[in-house]
Amino acid sequence: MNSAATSCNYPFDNAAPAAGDRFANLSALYDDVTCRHLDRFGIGAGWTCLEIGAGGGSIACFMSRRAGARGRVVATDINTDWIAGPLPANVKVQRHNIGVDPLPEAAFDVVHARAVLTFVPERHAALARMIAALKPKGWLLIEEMLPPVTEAWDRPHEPDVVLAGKARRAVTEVVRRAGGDMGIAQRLPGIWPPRT
Amino acid sequence: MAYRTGAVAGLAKANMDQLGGAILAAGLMDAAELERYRLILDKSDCFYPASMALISVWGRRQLA
Repeated sequence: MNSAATSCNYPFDNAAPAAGDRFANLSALYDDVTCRHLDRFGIGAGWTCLEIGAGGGSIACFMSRRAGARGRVVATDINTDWIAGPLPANVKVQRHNIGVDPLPEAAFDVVHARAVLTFVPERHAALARMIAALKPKGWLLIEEMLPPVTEAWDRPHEPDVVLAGKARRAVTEVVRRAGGDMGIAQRLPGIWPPRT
Repeated sequence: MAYRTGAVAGLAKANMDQLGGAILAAGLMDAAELERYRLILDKSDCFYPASMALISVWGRRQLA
């Protein structure tokens, strides 16, 4: 894979210390769900796995344990500094921007991306690239977060709730200005290509 | 899946720590509002009701 990563509008400053907190909290909230999906696909010994937007690397490590010594895992991110080491021998870390950088074709048994497409302006090209990276009968798992709808909370007029709503809208706007789309989660089933 | 855990407020706080500068620069919130929001998220009884829901979709490539 190349590692050009030349065109990136990712709005989060992953060089900031808070990036580690963000990855840790994402892992605490969502890893169980992700791992359950991967196990349901049958991830196991000898699999070749691609983790896109690896963040802190927790899912890449899970893939590594399942794939074993005969398998391999490629963990990519636009900033790989947060992928916690030391990593197992079957994990390769690669700086890579799924929006613009190519992937090897027909190379992986499973490809996973979580909280990635929301932030990639070239999301349709990225999705096509992920599909092309799958071996025949390979699995693709895409996961995106749906922001909380603060207006629907029990006490919508309380000052704290009003402020939380303003903060949510501010985050959404910053992401939008960077080319992101915080609404993509609810449209994922619609953009999912039924055939490749 | 959405549920109550300290990680919900933790994630919201990390988001604001990372995006706060851009939010201020864009005039979407002022510094006092950002600070008050951080204090809200620090409360042990933070009112955040649930995590963001995670939408998962999956598919399998056909045989070549």
